[in-house]
Amino acid sequence: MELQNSKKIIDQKFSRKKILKTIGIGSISFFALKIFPLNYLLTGKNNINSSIKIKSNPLAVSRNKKGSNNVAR
Amino acid sequence: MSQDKLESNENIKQPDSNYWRSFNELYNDPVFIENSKHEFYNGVTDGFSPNELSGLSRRKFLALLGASAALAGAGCADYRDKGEIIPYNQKPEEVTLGKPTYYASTCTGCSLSCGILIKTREGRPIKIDGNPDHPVNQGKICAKGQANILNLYDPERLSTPLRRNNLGYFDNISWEIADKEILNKLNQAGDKEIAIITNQITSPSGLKIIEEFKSKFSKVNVYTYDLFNNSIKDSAWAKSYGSGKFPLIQWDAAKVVLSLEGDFLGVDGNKIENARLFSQGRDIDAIEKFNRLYVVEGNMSLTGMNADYRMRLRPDAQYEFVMCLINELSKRGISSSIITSQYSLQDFAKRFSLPGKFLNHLVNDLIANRGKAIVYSGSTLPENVHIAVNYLNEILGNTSLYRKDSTIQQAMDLSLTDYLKNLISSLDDGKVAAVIHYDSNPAYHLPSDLNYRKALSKAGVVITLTVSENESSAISDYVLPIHHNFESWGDAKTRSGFYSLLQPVISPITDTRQKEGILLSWTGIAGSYDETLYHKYLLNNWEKNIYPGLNSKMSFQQFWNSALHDGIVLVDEKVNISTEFISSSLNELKPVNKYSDYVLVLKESFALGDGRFANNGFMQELPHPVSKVTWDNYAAISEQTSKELNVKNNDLIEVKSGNNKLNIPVFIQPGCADRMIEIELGYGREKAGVVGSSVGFNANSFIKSQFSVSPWIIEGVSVTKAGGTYNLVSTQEHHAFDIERVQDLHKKRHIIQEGTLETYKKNPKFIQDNRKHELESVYKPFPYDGVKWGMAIDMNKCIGCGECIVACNVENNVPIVGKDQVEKGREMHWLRVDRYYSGTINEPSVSTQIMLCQQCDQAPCENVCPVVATNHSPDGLNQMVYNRCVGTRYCSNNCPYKVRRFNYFNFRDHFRDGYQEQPLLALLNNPEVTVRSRGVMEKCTFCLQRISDARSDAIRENRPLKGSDVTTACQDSCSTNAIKFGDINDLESDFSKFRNHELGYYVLEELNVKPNVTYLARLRNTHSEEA
Amino acid sequence: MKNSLLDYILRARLPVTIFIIIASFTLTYFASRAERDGVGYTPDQPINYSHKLHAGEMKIDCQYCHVAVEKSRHAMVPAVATCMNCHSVARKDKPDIIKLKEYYDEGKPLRWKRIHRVPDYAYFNHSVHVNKGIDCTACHGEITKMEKVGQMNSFTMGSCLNCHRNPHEKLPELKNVNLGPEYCSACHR
Repeated sequence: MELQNSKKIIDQKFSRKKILKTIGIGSISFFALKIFPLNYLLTGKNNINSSIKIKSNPLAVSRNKKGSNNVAR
Repeated sequence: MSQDKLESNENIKQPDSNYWRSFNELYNDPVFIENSKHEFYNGVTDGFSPNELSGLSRRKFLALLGASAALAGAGCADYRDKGEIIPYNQKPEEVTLGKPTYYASTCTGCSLSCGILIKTREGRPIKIDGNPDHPVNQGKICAKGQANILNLYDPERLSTPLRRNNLGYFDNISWEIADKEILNKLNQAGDKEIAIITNQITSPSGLKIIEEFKSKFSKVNVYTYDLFNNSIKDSAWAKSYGSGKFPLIQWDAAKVVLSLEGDFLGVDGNKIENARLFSQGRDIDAIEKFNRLYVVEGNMSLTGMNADYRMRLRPDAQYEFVMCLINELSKRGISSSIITSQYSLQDFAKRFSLPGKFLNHLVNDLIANRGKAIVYSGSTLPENVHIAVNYLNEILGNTSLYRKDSTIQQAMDLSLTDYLKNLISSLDDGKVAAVIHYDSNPAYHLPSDLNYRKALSKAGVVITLTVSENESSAISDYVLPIHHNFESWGDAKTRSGFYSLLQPVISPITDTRQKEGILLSWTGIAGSYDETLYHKYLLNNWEKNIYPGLNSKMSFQQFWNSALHDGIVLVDEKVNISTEFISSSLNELKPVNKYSDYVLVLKESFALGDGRFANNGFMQELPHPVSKVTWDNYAAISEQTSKELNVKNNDLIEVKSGNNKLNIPVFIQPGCADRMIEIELGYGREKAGVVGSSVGFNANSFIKSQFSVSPWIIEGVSVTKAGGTYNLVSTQEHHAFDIERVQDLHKKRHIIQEGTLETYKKNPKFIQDNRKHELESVYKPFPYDGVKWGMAIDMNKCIGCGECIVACNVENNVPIVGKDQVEKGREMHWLRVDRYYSGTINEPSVSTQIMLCQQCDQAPCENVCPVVATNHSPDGLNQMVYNRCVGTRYCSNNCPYKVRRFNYFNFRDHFRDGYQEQPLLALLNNPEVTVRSRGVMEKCTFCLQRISDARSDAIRENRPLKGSDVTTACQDSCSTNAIKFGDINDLESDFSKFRNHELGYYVLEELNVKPNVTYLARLRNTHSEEA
Repeated sequence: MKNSLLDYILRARLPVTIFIIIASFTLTYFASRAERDGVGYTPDQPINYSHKLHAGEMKIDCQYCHVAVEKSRHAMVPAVATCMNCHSVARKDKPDIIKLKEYYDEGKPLRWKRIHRVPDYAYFNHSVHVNKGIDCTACHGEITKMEKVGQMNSFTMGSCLNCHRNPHEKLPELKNVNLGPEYCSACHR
């Protein structure tokens, strides 16, 4: 008798069809996107990297150790 | 709905005729009474029918939302993706990823050409330090030099050539078109003049390029100018001694220095060299060699802040003052050959209300220290003062303090005013085919009475070569972008005895060209432009003209590589300083004793130079060394003058001289002379980029080519109160002098402990006697048995300039916040210079103190962090963990020194709409230091990244870490070496000597927070024990 | 009526709820473990470089390619030129080598997929660890046996601290090793 009541309550509060519909669509799309990832559409090539090119000057002479004394005469 | 409400009449209240909201209510309008029964007005529910509602309920909508969010989440690609790692294609040999590479070069922030070391990481420069091998600056660089790195990465740097079109706007054009059109115009010049206007030329090879250019075209005239220059001083020297430039001074050998309006520790001369040499005479371990500084000046300057004795005197009266001094000295037995009987020091003192004690001490000291003293006159003073001072030094025998080993050299003298006037008249006559602004800004700088802008409109074509947009480029026809300092080749010779070289550390970031290369390409002698054009010319010049004279044992290629490595090339050069005083120069000294009511004094800005750093946020936000005002200039006046004008701080005054007038806010500066107004130049630029435009007030128009005193000291100005106020923002107010509660608060609370030399001699322990040594503590002390970091700041050497602040900003990625945030006290400087006044408002004595995180052993900030984001490391540092901080700000609340800075905004995003987030500026960031975002607290970390680097080096070399292995950024940049850093547990080290010095004290020691920054008390070298 | 509602709650709702909570927690803990500590991530690389061949069979030293590991905080993935040191002549016919040569000739960046990554708020310095004698395999696993490199150890703060606190157990081969730093600013600065 109590179980009957609970089933009624369950039926009032949930709808089996809707639950199964949501879970079904969700899992199908999940696995679908795993197989065909839409990643290539979403990554905007990193804007920061492409706009500025930094290149050190090959003719410059560096100091390998800071302050080493070798004053040219 | 509303029909459900009950309508019984007894619920209607009669409107109270004393309180009514509308006439309808008052007069009991029946419609009103009807409406008052219903909760909603009629017609509210019209047009609402539940059947027409959409089929999508809220519940369904939310369900759909949730499902689509889940889908999106599922669509996310591999969440374990950690990005990419991209190696070099060909690794440059000297680059080790993660380790910096240093290059020697020369700074072109001003014409002094100090040597610098540029620290680069992965090919991009991130920090500037001084070149230790450079004889002049010896490893230090000034604040402007430090901030110059921001100019390299300025997002508003011009990147393509521009040409003005008919509508007055600029179009981007290519270099080919620009070159072709300009060359066309230049070739059509015929016998008309081509004018090149430039700032001081410091490069010998650059001068040769100009010579080549001159030889290619028939009539080329070169005009050089500098907004502030030594030309008056040099011409006075030439008159007094025959030839040469004003000599360099051995500040370290001087026992007494009298500086007349000469801010030699600030903007007058090479500040780094002057400060280093001067501070060698303020060594607390050699007190018998302590020097004494007398300063007589109009407005409080950086040098004035450090004076032992200071007197305020308006600059136009300096001439009379010097003559009175000579007279007084001749009365005391120092004979002079000029007649000074009409001058009397006593009368002069009475007229200007000068303190008699000061003058007595001054005269006595000058006599007692003959041959070991120097009288120095500032470069803005008129010629007669310089001649008189040269004579004064001559009769006192102080000429021995002029340096004989080295002298200033200039590639080309600055143009005389008459020469500039020729240009204007040629322009007016239409005889100028082309004007080339060669990295200069004459439209902003040249004296206003020359009317340069108007004359320029008559030139054939106006070409500006510049790094970023400025006032001159805005009125040009062609604007050509040039390389920044760090992208350029070059050389510099500003002193005898050595050359300084420039090398590019980075290939041009945008499509700019070297300015010498552009001129060279127009001469056609070396072909069209490419990046190696000027480099080859430079090499050629050196190989043919300079290298043979050096008698080097190496091949030229080897020599050149080692020269670039060092940054300087020493040469043997004879220096001829003439020592014969030409007495006929004394004929120039005519009596002067009438002064106009107000005098206007124009000063070079410590932060912005001649205005070229206006777009540099670091320099705009650097507080003025004396007034601590940021982001603006102002008119400094004395309290007395402000009372006469009936103005308060921030009120606007109108300064009028001839046809020029300017409304500028007032700042009452303690120590300013009466009836004198001092304004710093370099502000008020209209075309300085997003950061610098419309900041401050442009007072350049007051400079005239015709002057009675000097270009920068203008008499006959009238000053009146204009209406309105302007908000000046300073990081530190000056408190009232006459309110007893706050007077000398810094001394009462022992924040500043000072003494005089006499006190120290009598009682060396006078500082220690003042300190409390027994303090109770709740905590057990932590045993620091390894390296424990501490800092000692010698207040005798600290001059309060603020270079350390800029160095810290660059090293630690400190953001710029802007004027509105500084007003709220939110400037993000980890290190600040506090300036305190004591004494009277007219003759204050100034104390400065650097304040930074004291890394307290029992830090009050560590106890209160609710998320333990700040705690203590075993090497004595208070560590700040940014990723844990939630922004409670309790730590800042608890800090007694108020050194913690909170990121109220993501300032990189907030300031000027994301100016600092632009990709180019992101390259400036030091990769070793976290870039903080909104909501975290930050503070000085004792350059933890440097400590960490030194530790890893020590581990690599399998040796223990020593305190002297680490230098902090502020310590590296201080010209006087006032900041000392090291291991307090190492009792043998140099640092320990300072930490345990008897003049050392801690600030707010009685709070028992156990700070680790020792301050060494400043000793003023006065005659008595009073300051 | 009321009785059965409470009963229903206790007998049906409560156990179901508790079960769901425990199940989802366990599921997500284990499912997210890979994301949290990154263990097992073995992505495909643009060029199928085999450490097993080069470092294992041919016994090329780690530091021949990863040059900066002893000097700086980064271990440095080798420049393409380093590969070309040998591969300008060795196995020139293989498709992967031809691809490699293409990168070198055209100056194209060779985008390896990053495997080991300490997040930006933590600072990790290779040279300090290498100079104390810690072998590459202690953290990176048996690289010489991997065809494709994957992350073998977890790189969470907990696992770093584990070794810092017990160096003698974790690295028994080192005789003189001292405790690694435990204080925040060693890594969070």
